[in-house]
Amino acid sequence: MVQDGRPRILLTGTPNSGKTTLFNRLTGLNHQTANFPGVTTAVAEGRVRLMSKDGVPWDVACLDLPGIYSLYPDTPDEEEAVRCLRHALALPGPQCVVFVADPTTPQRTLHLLQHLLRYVHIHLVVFNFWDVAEKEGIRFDEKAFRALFGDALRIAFHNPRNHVHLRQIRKALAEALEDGTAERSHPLLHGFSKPSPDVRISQSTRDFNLFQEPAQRIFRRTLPGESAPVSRLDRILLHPVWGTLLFITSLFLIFQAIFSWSTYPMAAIEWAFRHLGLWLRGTMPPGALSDLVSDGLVQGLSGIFVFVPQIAFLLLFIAGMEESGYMARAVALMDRLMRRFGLSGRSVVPLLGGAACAVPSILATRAIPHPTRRLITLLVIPLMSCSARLPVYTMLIGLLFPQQTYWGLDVRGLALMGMYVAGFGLAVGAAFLLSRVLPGAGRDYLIMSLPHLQRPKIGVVLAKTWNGLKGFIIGAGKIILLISIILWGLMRYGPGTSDPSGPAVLNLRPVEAVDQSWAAFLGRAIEPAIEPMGGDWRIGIAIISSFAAREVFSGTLATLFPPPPGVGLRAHLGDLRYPDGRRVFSAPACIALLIFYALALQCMSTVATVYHETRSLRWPLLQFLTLSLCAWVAAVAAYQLSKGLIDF
Amino acid sequence: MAEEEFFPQKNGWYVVERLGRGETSARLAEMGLVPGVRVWLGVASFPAGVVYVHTPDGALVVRRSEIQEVRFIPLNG
Repeated sequence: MVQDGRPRILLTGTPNSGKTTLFNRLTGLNHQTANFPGVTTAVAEGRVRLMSKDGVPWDVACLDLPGIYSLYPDTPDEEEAVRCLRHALALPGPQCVVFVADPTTPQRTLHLLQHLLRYVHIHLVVFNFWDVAEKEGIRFDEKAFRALFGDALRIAFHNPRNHVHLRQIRKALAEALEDGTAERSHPLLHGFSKPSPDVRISQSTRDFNLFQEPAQRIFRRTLPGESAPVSRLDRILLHPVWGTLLFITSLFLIFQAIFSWSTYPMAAIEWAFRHLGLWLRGTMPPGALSDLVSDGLVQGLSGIFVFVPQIAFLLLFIAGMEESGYMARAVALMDRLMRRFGLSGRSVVPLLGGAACAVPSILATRAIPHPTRRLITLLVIPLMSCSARLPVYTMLIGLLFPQQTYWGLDVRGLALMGMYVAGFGLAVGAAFLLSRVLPGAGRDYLIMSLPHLQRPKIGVVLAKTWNGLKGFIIGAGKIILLISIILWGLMRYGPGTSDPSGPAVLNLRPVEAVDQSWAAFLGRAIEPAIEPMGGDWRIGIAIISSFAAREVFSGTLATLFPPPPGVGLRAHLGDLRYPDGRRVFSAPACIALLIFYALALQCMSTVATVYHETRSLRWPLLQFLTLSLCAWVAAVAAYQLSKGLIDF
Repeated sequence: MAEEEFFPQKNGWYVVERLGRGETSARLAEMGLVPGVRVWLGVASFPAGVVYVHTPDGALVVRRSEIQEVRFIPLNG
């Protein structure tokens, strides 16, 4: 966050008023937005290029603060918003406080504006989502607004699709920063403290009563409002029986679609990488570099890219649910069930978000007011099946089940859904156990405004999917590139075999067979731990290499077991056998690996985020060690129990 | 009087008569649930343990136990 006296813009407003949408438009960044309150749980910073009065380009810092209902925080994300607002206001130098207003919730908006004006000098009010307001027949009466708030307050409108509005906002921001009022002192910085609930209630009651009538004049509705207090759709989505059935059916369809729709693009990507490897081998002069590129890098990258279609579909569905406003309905539906397991209704969104990626979901737990429930939620989120597990699951499920359909249902899709349900079950089960152990002090509540149900905007959904996918490709791609190079080196060179009884020596000549390599040497050292779960040293290497990021597992398998020309990786792995005729990826071994990956915490970014959020080494270490140990014990038990029951 | 006795049992229009004295009531007030406000309460055919509150600024979902401390009176008597 800005630490010096650089010019800065601070965006504040109620939750779900579109601050991050405006922030993204101003800075050109792509921070996460969604159609439910409490998405922004951390302060984001970017740069806005403005034009000074003299026509000189001017780069200004822009801070996007989490939404608030007042300056009296009740949740960790609100505390962060108020803390950062006070910190930024206390710094010297020009600053511009922007109040981002949602005209479709006029009374709540005017109440917060009035409340903030008592403590903060606001320079600009931006009426956001003006396109939606106009569609709802809302007309703004500036005279009525000025009568209440005076002439000094600048106002602007923002329609995310309108560039003219954005130019006007930039102009207003530059004027506010240059006109000298931007350094005015703020009462918030002097002796401000959170009052008693009684005082808060009386302040709010007074302000809401004050704005009840003016709000209707300021935001005049020219179209009749909703005739019924609950829309027909909400009557179904929030119905305890139909809503729950619809929720389960949606999840079921998503996992069916992930498998069946991805088949052709996955086959195309496999084909492309196979031919790229062949072409590179034919084009490059024979030698170490050619081996590295075609056997190491191309194989490793194909093991990641082949799963891009499935991850894209998963992210697309999650983005669609967020944008439509459905996620908030899911919170209401699941609240009671969640509380039985020591969680909160507000845990639903981070948990469901964990199906895409644990890292932003752990940050999303800041919206949970109860500290213990928040801690429990962030500790169990890694048990949800994230998109990085998808390549591992689809690889192993593909090896475990033939491609078959029963009554039109894809068996592999059902198995994948089973893994996601199991992940959810493990998360709530672990939460239940933790709630029995951890002290339960703290206040918990569920009060949430329901966002409007809307048809998801295709552009926004696609952009969010692309951002998630880009993060996956770049994040996993960097690691797989590094690990592919290291693995290739470990598999090409060995410790030397001239004197087997002597110490290992550095040997820079390529080995004749992979079982003489450094990889085999290191893999055999860990083989005693891998053998009881049905693997050999090569699977041990694949597991170890995926401790930094689990999605690396399939890339490593592609490097360790390079398929012959013209054969796909999964087909090749399915045919691999040990010298005694057993399949390397037998059914019991695949089951053990699935269970291992369902439980193990193989993601360094998650460990780092838990450390950041808990400000303690104790929780991430405990989480990592417990989950790793549970994963190994459960995988060994699954293999030992199933090997006598299932044919190899 | 036990809270259950006066908490609305049927969907319908109500007026907020008074709030409790806790922090939850303070937050409800900041979200617009202040004395005198007309709201539509959904208590039947909604998720168990949750109350649907239609306010002039749109809908809220509130855990039933949080809203117990708000006193509502039916709009038509």
